[in-house]
Amino acid sequence: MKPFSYARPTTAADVLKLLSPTARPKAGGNDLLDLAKRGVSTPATLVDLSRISVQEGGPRFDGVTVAEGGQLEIGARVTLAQIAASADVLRIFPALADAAAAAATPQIRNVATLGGNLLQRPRCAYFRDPFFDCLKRGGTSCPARDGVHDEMAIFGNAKCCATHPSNLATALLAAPQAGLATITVEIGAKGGLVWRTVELSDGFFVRPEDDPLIEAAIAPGELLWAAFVPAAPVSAYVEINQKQSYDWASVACAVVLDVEGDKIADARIALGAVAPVPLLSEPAAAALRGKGLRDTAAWDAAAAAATQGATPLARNGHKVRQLRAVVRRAIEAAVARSK
Amino acid sequence: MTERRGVSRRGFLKGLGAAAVTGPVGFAGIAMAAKADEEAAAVPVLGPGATPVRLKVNGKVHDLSIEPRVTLLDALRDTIGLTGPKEVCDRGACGGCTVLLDGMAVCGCMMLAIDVGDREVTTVEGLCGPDGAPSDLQQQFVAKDALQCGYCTCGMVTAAEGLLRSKPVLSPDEVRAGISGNLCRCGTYTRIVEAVIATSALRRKGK
Repeated sequence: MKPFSYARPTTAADVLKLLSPTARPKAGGNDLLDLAKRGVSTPATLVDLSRISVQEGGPRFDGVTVAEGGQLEIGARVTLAQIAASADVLRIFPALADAAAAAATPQIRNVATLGGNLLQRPRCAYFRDPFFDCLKRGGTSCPARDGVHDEMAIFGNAKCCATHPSNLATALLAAPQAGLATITVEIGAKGGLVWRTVELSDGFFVRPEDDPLIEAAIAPGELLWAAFVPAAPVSAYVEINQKQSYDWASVACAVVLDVEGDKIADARIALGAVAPVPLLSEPAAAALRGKGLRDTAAWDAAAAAATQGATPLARNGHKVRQLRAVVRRAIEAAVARSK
Repeated sequence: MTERRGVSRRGFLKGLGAAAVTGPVGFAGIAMAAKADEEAAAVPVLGPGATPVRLKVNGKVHDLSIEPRVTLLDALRDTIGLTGPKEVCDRGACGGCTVLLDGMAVCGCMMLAIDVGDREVTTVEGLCGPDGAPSDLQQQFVAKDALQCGYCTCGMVTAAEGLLRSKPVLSPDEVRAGISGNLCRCGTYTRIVEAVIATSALRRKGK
């Protein structure tokens, strides 16, 4: 790692004043250190987030809270281990607990945070090796296209074929109206904080066609603060990977079902690790709407529909079949959680 | 253990490290950082040169002078001289560097020493009794023959200790999930699970 300085602010306002393209916030630091060790990222300053206190009047940076109306508020600094073990998350939005438990290793889950998981950079081996040209590092080509791309995108891969690495992003996208709160500080003012809420399904994830250098619409001077998740108890997240530990998903699926009696009134199906951003599959959801909860033919139809429009590369056609399998498994896992 | 041939490889590397952190490069760096951050004068900015870091390791306080970029693992191995935690992948993938932070298993390679703060670090050395006698878990690793080449063992024992502290009663599946952050290339997993289960049973009996 290149040398860097280390700032220790104690208020959110001071954090925000320090943040810049070369001064990056550090929570768990797993992705940050990985990128720094590889020389992909060379921050001049790391801004420690461990000492900042709770912002008065705003949502919490720490802890899982159940708000009035039963929605979950999860601070960006909450660890994956805390999310996976939270009785409130398991009751209100179990898909998120599934996603947190499936990430990384026990050691990393003890340190890695919700915010860091959502904002981690892609796992594409070409992106993470400065030897190669890469669109995501300001280059002009994508060596993965004619290289080793077995694990890469099967949708939206015309420009860059890296997949979005975040488990929790896939789970959160499946929740209707899941949102994120961010803060910035007013320019030139004396520490006035500006809050912004963004819906996950409305422009938070950035496609490489729009800007290959970033994956999330968050400014260099902006801090991800918390996530809001409405109750979605009939939900599940399932992934398929090559190893069950320390491996990012080959394919992932989060399913949220709105159940009335023994019918599926509505469904939301999010697909992970198949495109540069997590995707909502409307064809898959449509195949479940109005169908019986245990109508396995409808599950199969939804799983097949989820692969509609896939554009696999020369060597990752297997991911289309894996996607079909993981969607089927996630629907089954969600149905198993209905009363 | 006796020191062989005057200068050991480790001692030589440690000497190089000390020169690097106390040399003029480090101090020039500090001055530059202070200038760049004049605007946020109230916020302490440390480094990029060597800066004082206090670590509590195995019940002992160590006052170090290290750069902010030094990982907890490097501080333990190269500065303090505790070589139980191993550097293998240096990316959090293998668990060879596992240490406990206030009893919770973390990867020493993916944490900066400066981030540890007041938390108590326990390495595999710290699991032994005050007289250096192996702990019940370490004894069970021996009894169940739960190691071959031994390279993963320090991290494996430490991760298993963290697991036992978080949940004293464990099923074999829970042990397997609990040590899934540790790789053993010899494939001794079956016996490692046996050793952890046996320790869990012993602790329940209060032994």
